[in-house]
Amino acid sequence: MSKINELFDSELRVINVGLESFSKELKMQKKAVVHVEWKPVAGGNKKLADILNQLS
Amino acid sequence: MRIEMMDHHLQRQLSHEGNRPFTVHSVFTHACNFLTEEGVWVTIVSQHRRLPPNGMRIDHNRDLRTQFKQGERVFLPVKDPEIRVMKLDVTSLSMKEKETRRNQSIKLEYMKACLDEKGMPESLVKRELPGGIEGSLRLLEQSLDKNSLEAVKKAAQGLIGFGSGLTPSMDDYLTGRILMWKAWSTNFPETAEEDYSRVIEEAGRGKTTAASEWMIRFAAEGRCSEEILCFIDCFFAKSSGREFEEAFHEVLQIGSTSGEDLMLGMVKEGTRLLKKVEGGSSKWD
Amino acid sequence: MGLKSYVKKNSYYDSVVLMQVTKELKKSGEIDEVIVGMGTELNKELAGNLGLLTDELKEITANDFFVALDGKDTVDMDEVLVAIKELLNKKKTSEDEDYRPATVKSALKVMPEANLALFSIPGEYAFDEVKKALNEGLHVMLFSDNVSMEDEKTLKDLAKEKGLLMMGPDCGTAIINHTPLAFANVIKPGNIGIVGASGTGTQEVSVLIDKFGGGTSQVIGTGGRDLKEEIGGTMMLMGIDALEADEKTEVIVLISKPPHISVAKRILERVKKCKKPVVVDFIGGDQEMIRSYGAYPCISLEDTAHKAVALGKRETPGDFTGFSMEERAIDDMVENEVKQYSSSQKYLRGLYTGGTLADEAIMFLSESVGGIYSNKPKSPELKLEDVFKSKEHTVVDLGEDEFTIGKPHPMIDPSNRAERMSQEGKDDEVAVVLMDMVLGYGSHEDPAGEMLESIREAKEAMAAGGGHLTVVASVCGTEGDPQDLEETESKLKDAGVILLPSNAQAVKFAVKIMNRMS
Repeated sequence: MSKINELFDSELRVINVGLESFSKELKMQKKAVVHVEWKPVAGGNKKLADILNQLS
Repeated sequence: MRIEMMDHHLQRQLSHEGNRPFTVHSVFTHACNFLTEEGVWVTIVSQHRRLPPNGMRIDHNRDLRTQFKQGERVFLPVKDPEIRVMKLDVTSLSMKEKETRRNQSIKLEYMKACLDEKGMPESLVKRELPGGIEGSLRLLEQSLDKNSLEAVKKAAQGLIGFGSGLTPSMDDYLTGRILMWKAWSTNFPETAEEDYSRVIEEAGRGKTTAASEWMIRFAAEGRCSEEILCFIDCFFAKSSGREFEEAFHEVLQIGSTSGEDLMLGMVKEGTRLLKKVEGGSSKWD
Repeated sequence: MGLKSYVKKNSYYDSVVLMQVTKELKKSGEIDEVIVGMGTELNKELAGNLGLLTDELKEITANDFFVALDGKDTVDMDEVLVAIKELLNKKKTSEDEDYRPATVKSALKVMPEANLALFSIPGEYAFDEVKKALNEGLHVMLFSDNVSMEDEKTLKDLAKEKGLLMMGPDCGTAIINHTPLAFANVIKPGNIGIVGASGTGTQEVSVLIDKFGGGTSQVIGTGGRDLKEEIGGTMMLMGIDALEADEKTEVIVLISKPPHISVAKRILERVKKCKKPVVVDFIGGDQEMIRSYGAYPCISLEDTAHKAVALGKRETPGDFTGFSMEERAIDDMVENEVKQYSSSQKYLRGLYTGGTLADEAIMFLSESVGGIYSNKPKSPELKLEDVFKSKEHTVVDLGEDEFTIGKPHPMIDPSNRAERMSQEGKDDEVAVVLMDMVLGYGSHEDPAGEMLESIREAKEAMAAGGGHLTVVASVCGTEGDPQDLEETESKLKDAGVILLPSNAQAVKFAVKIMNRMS
């Protein structure tokens, strides 16, 4: 069975990353959801992320 | 309430005793601190939270303030044979592949740059420090360079207990320095410096909050919480930028400024030790 | 000089509370100096240096909590202290006691059996995060846009390799295992599976399926660009495979704007081999081509739903082109509107929050009424010079970027559209305003209520000038949606809005009015 069909046959369990309203609405419907308090890493700064890109 | 996971050290300690009561020291929503009858610090955290040193993680995340009251004496299910155990020891981290010096330098550069960009206004990175504190910080740097333990102790006496928070900012900073040193000397024993963590611990006795005294004491034993340990692992072992970033990010989340203050300590100490190893200024400075 | 201190012995507060106290103190701007902390020697010394050391503070120890402040004469220090006490004693911290991890990886520790990650983070970060999630074996729905075509291809190829759903980027609608995700409606379970490349198109079709007595098994979103040449329809093809293999699905519906010809062929080739009947709505696409591959082409989103429901009941689908009501009754309504217009009134304005619904409107209106100006017109010469100002016949999609910079999408915040409605009401050349009203999860909790004032205002302004403003709408919603469908409809009717059961019919009604006038 393909993974997508497996998903169709299982209980949907969501990791929500970003807008809180999506998590709230899933909770309203009593669905399993974990909300990720996502923040951009490196202060959202590409310059900082680029430093890490130098890692060999 | 069941205990799911326990600090290895704590389990060893408790295994020698019968089931004895704990006195509640301080309660928060998802953490609760206790003192054993011998005055040893123990912390319970809610499900999914990171395990602290001498910590126990339980199987739910209901508000702990409804379960425990400050000053209460309680019994905890510490003898449950199903409890899993975790080592929170920087000295016993085993790494498959160690990171190169160059990469360590890059990681430190990243840490510094992030703290500069991101810092909370109340963190040590951002706030203005009084003259006395600045002076003690300078003394600390000099005394570490010279590996002079007496001077380190004097410097620490002028720093411990300063700052806001249950663990004052400077205490977090010093903890970060100690942990980095501990991890560094474990990985690179040729560093050959005297361990200064004990004198910092001595300097702190009675000068700061109980929580902080214990935090420094644990650090002096090379012990720290799960996310800090994970970060240290990512720093010293070969890791991808992504993994390192995530581990770094997790430590910054600790408390409101504690994570940042601690990380600042780690950066300062890591930079000092790297410079020392490379003899003078690093070509990647 | 208002020097005050507050001490609580042997007391410990977590960092969240301490941050709140500090914030509270700083926000008034009337506090000159403040220290919040534990009574360690060095903190007391600092207090002393800042002139804040009261006698009370001198006595405290490292395990005692204190606040020391000095405020302007205008400040009531006692009041401030009361506020601090309240903050410190607050029993309830946050409503949500659930642990909120900082990364997908930590989230997996909390929920190891998670199977789908829904991302709505800024587009520039999405690629890395989605890639991580796919590599963790999670199906993904990516609501964010501003992801490059190249990155979309990379992600979809990776998802295909792993056999995972990669819904998006720019995917606003999906219903997996009867769970509405992002902007989606509550649809009765049934045997119709949908794969949609357009959000509100998918919403309209699913809602109408529900209205016509059918139901959905799965509604898979692909994101707006799936059928572009560069992407090649990867997700739509995977969707077809999955729905064909799904026991609960007996009819498959595909929805998209007209795809690139090579992609259309690829999709239709796959459709030809499909064992289940497939309804294909390539909104305005080549009907003959679709029919030649053995699929059922469609005239409108409503027609798509009709055909799907018929096939779901093992009936032969016919074309649905007219109205649900008797044509005569419709004509009477048209007559009633037209007779009230003043001589200057001649134009139509469409104010849409749903992109595909706007597209459908522009499509039908262009066929019958002529040049429709828009922010996304059928041909470049009909592009509005100023998207904030309508010209002649105009239909705008208020959800497009030019309207949503620094503002929420109109489905979430109806105020933009309300403003535009008032504006149109002041234009005495406008006869008809056409709009959509999208309910369901993701949408505002009372989109109709938010429009009432501006609708009334616009109608009154037109009436004051001796004319009459016709407002026509359709409500895209079901009884299962969190907004009250019945109440939504009656609110709009009470405000004088003419409601039709679908966007297609609302547009056709507007066309009838326009034709009647000319």
